[in-house]
Amino acid sequence: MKRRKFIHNASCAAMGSSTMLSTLLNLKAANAASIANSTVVKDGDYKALVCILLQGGNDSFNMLMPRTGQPYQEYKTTRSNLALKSEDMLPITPKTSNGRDFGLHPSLQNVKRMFDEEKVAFLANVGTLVEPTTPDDFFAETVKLPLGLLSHSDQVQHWQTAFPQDRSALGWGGKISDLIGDMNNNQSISMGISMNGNNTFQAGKNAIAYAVDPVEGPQGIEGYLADDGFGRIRTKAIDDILGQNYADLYEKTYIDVIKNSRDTFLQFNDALKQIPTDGIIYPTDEWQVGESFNMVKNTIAAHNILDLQRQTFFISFEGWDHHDEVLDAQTAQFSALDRALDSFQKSMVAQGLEDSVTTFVISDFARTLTSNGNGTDHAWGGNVFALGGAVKGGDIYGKYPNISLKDDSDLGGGIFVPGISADEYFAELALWFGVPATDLPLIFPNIRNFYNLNSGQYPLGFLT
Amino acid sequence: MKNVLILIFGLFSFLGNSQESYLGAGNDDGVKVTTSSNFFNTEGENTINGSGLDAKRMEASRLLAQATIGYEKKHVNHVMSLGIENWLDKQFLEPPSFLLATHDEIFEEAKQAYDDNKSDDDEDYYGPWGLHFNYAWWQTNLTNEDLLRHRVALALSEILVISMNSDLIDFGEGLSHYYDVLLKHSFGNYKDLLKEVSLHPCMGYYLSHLNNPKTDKENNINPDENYAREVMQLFTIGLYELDKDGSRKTNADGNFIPTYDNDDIKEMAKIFTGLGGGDWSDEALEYFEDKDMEPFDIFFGSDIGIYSVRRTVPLKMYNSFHEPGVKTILKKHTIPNGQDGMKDIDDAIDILFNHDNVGPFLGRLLIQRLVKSNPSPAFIKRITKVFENNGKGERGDLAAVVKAILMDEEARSCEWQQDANHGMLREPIVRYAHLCRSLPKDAPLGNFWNNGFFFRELTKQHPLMSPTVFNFFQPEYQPVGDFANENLFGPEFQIHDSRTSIGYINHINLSTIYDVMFFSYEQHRQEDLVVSPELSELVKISGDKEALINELDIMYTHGRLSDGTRKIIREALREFQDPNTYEFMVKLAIYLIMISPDYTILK
Repeated sequence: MKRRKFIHNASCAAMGSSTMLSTLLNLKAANAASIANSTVVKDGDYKALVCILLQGGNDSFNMLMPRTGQPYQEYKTTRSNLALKSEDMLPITPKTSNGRDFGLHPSLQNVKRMFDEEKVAFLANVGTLVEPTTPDDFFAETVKLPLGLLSHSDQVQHWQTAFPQDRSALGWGGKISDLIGDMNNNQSISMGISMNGNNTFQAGKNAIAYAVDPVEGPQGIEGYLADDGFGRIRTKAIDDILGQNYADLYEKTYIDVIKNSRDTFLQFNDALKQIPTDGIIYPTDEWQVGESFNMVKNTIAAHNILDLQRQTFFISFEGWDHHDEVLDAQTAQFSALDRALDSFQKSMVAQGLEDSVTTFVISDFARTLTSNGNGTDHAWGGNVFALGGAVKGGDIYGKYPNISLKDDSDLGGGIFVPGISADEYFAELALWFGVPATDLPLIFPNIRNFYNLNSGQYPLGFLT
Repeated sequence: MKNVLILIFGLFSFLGNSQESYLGAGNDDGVKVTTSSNFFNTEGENTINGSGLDAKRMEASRLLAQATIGYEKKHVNHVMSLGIENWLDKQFLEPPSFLLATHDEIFEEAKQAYDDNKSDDDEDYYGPWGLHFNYAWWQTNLTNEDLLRHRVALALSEILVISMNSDLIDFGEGLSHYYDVLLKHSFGNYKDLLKEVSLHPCMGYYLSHLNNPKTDKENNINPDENYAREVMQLFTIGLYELDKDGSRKTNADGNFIPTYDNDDIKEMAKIFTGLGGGDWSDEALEYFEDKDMEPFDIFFGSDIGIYSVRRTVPLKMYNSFHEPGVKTILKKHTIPNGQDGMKDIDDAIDILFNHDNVGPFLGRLLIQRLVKSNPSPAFIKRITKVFENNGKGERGDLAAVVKAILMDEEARSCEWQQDANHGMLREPIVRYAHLCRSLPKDAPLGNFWNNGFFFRELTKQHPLMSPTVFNFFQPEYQPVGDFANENLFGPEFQIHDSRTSIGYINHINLSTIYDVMFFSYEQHRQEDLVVSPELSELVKISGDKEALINELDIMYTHGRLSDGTRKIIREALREFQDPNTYEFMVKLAIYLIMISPDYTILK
């Protein structure tokens, strides 16, 4: 046993990696040369999906509310001390409202404007499902249900895996990358760029997100490639350590992440240095959501230099688990989100990429309609929105439930069985992104329970 | 050469016998068996000196890598001279070094230094806040002798999670006191720990059962379910019924059996109603004084937040706000109507603590923190047995559990080290803290006030700074690739990404090459503003480069430095020929070891 290991290690130790580094630098040079030679940099076929996770479970029945009449009175009674005043809400008029007036949270001023401009679409009562479900099905246990309903750790995973009957490590963004990653001419940079480190959404069988710092950007190894005596010795030693063959699972995984990071950084950082500023001011906030959208914008601006045609971005906005202080907290957090989205969308317009970039919101779950004093607890179906030039905005898709504790999808206490499955929401985004309809089941194993792959239409129709 | 070696041992306050001078004597061109020996006997595997002493040293160092946050050369020798079991037994008796008193002293000292230098325009010194908790944590962990207790407390802080990623960042004393509760019970009974954690004001704030009122039907207000859920999911029984070996039970249909449903959460939520502050905070008392008011007797209600509550005094039960009526816990346990609310809590904790899941659930988490990410079912089962009965009829004895984990053959034997699934990624904070502990430091005032936030920024980890109650990483996190394919877990890999992996390397760069092991935020304490490693003794032995590598191998990789990595380091060191450059050579050697998988992966 010991001897075998010894021999194995000894044989691997001879492998250096300076050859690998030079290959990499050559590749980089080749890319740079081809960009310099091409006159038309405008790429007609670029698409990006920006996922923003409101982590902790957004109380989304205080994001999108009935504003007038009987529906508002029901809302007011049910939500008790947490009900927003009708006159404080930002009024919106959905194209297909069935006579109902809706309001947005007072902090969402730019979202309201973009809704009016038909860049924002809301989806009502969306959540994780394995198959279409009613409260009767739920109580009779006649359908397969998502694991760990109402639990953060499970639900936040399910929104990212789209495989809620299992605890899978693979995310649907990562699976998309595994499937159509070859759409990117540059294969040495991950399709998934994360502002928040490792995440399930962008984890594929092979795909791994490239994590950058929202403020500092991509991180390089300090002193690496330094052109002095010490720097050269260090660089060679680092390359040699990264270049060894590791048979051990843990060692290999540890090293692969660093290696991937080192390689990507060289290209990425160079590209970021070349992008022009668009002059649009981004807000800063304690959650770094403004900073994150700014960094996403920079990365998108570099897509031509990096020769990338498809990208996914992941931003996790923490702090939505409002068992306590839900009113004050949402006011501040929606405001941060609203301002960040405003700047980001302006940048996309400025870059001429408005129609190529779609931003979409996810969250663990909605929260109970009833109060626990000054907060709310975990629920299930909730409201989300998508933003971008490709969005058929100005409308609410899906049936917005009655906030009366008597809605026919209410399990009690204002916990709604979702009317729209997260799969439908995501499959539409995936189709738009370029995944062939027939391949959808590879990414969304339950999609056939909700959508006819041969329909020739989007599942929900909120995208063009 | 012998004298030089004795000198360095002297530096680490160790009296070596002359045999020690064999260490590193072999310039053998890399022929070195990379294993530790079985701890019961030291086989003559060591091809460098053949004495077996290195093997013992490696085994001691390996135990310390599992059982401590960081250690010095002297601790390796303690373990060697006592033997592993005796050393552990001695550690259980070591007096706890609590944080709160240290925290208070540091705050006063830092404040004094600030006040002595401040001009009239300067703002008042801020705090105590999370920064002062960090100072206290580092001051303690770089000087303490209760190494095992602190390692276990760190593990517990990643199970019973509160975080200064919340308003708690403003309460250095609350954070320190909470950590002290973990330290106090690290070798105590898990039930006592659970009770004290449940009643801690910081936990009450963090999981919102502080000021959680009873049902108010008229206004549609129900008890807060937050703590009710997490005390089950994360602190005691987990999501599924478990066998004693940690595997999930299945029902007749082959499905896993959930431990609770939402009705159980609603019942449990009723238990944790009626808890309010145990005393007013200084800020609240000042407020009353300003308003010329007497403090109220009762402080319960959402308008009395954590700012007003003394963070070092347990929460109190206000029975008029506690949910009346019978509560049914986990469908089968009845808690009767009319009890004192605190008795309800005692009963509920008793029920949870005695659930069959707690042994395998907690056992696996502690094994994952101390020894390996993927323990065998048999290992978990052995630990469950000890949790259920420490041999004297006591359930939940954490000292017995910790000892059983560290003495288990799966933690100790050489054979298991060769198992492909054996091992774990060391947590960034442990990797870094060990570096800081292992080396002598240049800090004239003896203050090791590491601000901590800088390390957190680069690596996403620092004690009590988890993003959520789900810790920095989760027990069933699967990194992309082979882990997922083989259905193995690698919790710590959750915070090992393209950004944090480089962040760690860059902090090691700062701490070694650039001499800034850490720094405080106290501009007025210039003497110890930056603490540097003191490398002169390592420089002295580095004329013999192999001796230097061997020295580092013992301290950091417990003899596991692979031939390949050893060769890479040797080749790098060979470039340093002028003795004037040896300090840089030593720095580079430490840097390379610290970033190598030989060190970061604990086998």
